[in-house]
Amino acid sequence: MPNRSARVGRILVVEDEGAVAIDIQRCLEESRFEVTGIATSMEEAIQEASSFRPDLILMDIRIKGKADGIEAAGCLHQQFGLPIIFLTAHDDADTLERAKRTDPMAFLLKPFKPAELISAVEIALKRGWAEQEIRARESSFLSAMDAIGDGVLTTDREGRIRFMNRAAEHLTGWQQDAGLGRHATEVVHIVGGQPDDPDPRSVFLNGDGNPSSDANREHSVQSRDGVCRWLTIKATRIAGADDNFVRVVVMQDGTQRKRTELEIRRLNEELTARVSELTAMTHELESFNYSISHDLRAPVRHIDGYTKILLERADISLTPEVRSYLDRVRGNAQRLGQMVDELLELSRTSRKEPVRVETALKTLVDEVILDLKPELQDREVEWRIGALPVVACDPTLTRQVFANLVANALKFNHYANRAVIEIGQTSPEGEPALFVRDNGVGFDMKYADKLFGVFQRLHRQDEFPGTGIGLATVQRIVHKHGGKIWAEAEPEKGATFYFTLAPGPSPTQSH
Amino acid sequence: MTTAEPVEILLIEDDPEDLDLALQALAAENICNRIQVARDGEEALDFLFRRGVHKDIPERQPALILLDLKLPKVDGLEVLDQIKRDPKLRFVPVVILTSSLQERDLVRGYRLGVNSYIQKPVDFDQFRATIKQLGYYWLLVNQRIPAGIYQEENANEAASQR
Repeated sequence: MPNRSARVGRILVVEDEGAVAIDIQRCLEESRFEVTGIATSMEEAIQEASSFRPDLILMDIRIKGKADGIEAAGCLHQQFGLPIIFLTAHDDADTLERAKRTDPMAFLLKPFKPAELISAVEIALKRGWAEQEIRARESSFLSAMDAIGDGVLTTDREGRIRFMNRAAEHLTGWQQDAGLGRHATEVVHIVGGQPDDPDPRSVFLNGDGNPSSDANREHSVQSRDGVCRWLTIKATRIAGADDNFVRVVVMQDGTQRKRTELEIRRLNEELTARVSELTAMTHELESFNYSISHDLRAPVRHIDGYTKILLERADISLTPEVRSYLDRVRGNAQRLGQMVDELLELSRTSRKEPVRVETALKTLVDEVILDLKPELQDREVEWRIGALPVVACDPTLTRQVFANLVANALKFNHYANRAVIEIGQTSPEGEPALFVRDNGVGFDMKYADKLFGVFQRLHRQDEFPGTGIGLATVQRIVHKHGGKIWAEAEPEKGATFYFTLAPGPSPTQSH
Repeated sequence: MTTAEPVEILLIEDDPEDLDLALQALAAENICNRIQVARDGEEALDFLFRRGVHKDIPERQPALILLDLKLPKVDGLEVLDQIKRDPKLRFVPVVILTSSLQERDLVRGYRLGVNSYIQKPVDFDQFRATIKQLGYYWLLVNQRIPAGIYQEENANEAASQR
């Protein structure tokens, strides 16, 4: 805004009497105002105004053309927002009344003295400029408001809308023109809120107390065009003149966040439901296991017990054939018992999550071998134990892996043969793996995929008895650790079982 | 099966065949011929606490209790709990002799103060050997508190607590 005192008032004179017009011009110019032009009709006035943009118009009520000065003033005021001073001589009351409605700055009655003209012009210019400044401020305020992404509206003390920014128009679906003067609850149509909110519409009465105590509350708001959104609405009371306070209502669109929040909640509920389902299943499985271990073992024990008692009865003589049958009954009962036990072991390791502890595998392997010693009796075994790492693994489960693999290595070897069992760490495929190798009967690699299946066996029962559960257990433990297991073998040339105890490159720390 | 004679072993077992085999094993090893049998947890507690049909028997604790876990009415762990809570009975050694080997039962059993936990082997020879070792150890090798001292000890304990 230029300095007010330095600013020269630029004035358009609309006067059809040339002499009067010239008088006025001279008078104005003597007081250092600039006359941008003299027009005699509304058409000329509009053209002049649009070309030179004066600050003020001096308008005679009687001018040339169809339209009189009042009509011209109304048009110029509306089109350019220019302040008007009417110059009038002897007009009737109706005309004056009509002129008043165009909101002029002043009336000057002809004939007027130059001083009257100058003082009226000065006042009108000052007022005009002040109003212009207010309008400029307002317009920059409005553009700022429209640039805000949040919806902003103001209401009067009755809650009627006085202003809406563009975002508020978008969120409510109401154009400002239509919304102005309506009650906020009508424009911001709240269809739902937080469950603990007795009357969500009371948000528009908030801010009567301490504004900072206002909680941001979420409401489901339906716009005029039917779109539902989650809006965080906050109302703040701003004191105005007298008791005429206004409320500023800010609405933040939280629809996306709310949607995400609801989705997360739904997923959580689903997850909780699945977990409890799984827990129930695990529970069922456990009681199933319990029943199996208790109820299935008992009859097996009874079969063995009574067969043994029968075999020992002194008062009946049994032929060698009958004895051999009874021995087979016992053998099968014991095998069944072993299968039940091993199946339980398998299910137990399946349910158990590995608890990783830094474990020296060398110690573990030594213990396994020591435990086997009594079973080996006179059997000749050469142990080749290589360097074994310290690994983060579940020691109990890992021990089971070595125990089962070593037991297999011993079992699938001809008894007469001198067994050579090698345990160590190697990197057959670039990444380190643990291995247990034997010089036993081996197997044909075309059956390798059957190795780790439950009840899958590669050897006849009369050659090498077994249940086919040991390697399944081993595989499960390895998988529980995130590792893998595989084997290499050739018939009559021994077998090697490789495994890792962690995903990716596993044991590295060598001891 | 109430006996007038003092009971050496209380055998708590519901399965008739298990019971029969256990009795045969005990008989074969000639360990003990004074055996009281309870067919469920309630009967065992009635006997131990001299209630119901056992209300008139003289007070005398068995030397050993062999306890199955899966029992009708009152289960084995509950029986164990009541035994170990009783100021007199708690000194009687209790051996859990069960078909199942559940870690949960093991932990609970020992937590309640069981003296030993044995899974019945499938192989009858092993079962017999186990019974033999059990009887031998708890009835002959192990030193028990003589009956008369129970009261005295308990009185002293009660006094020291006061």
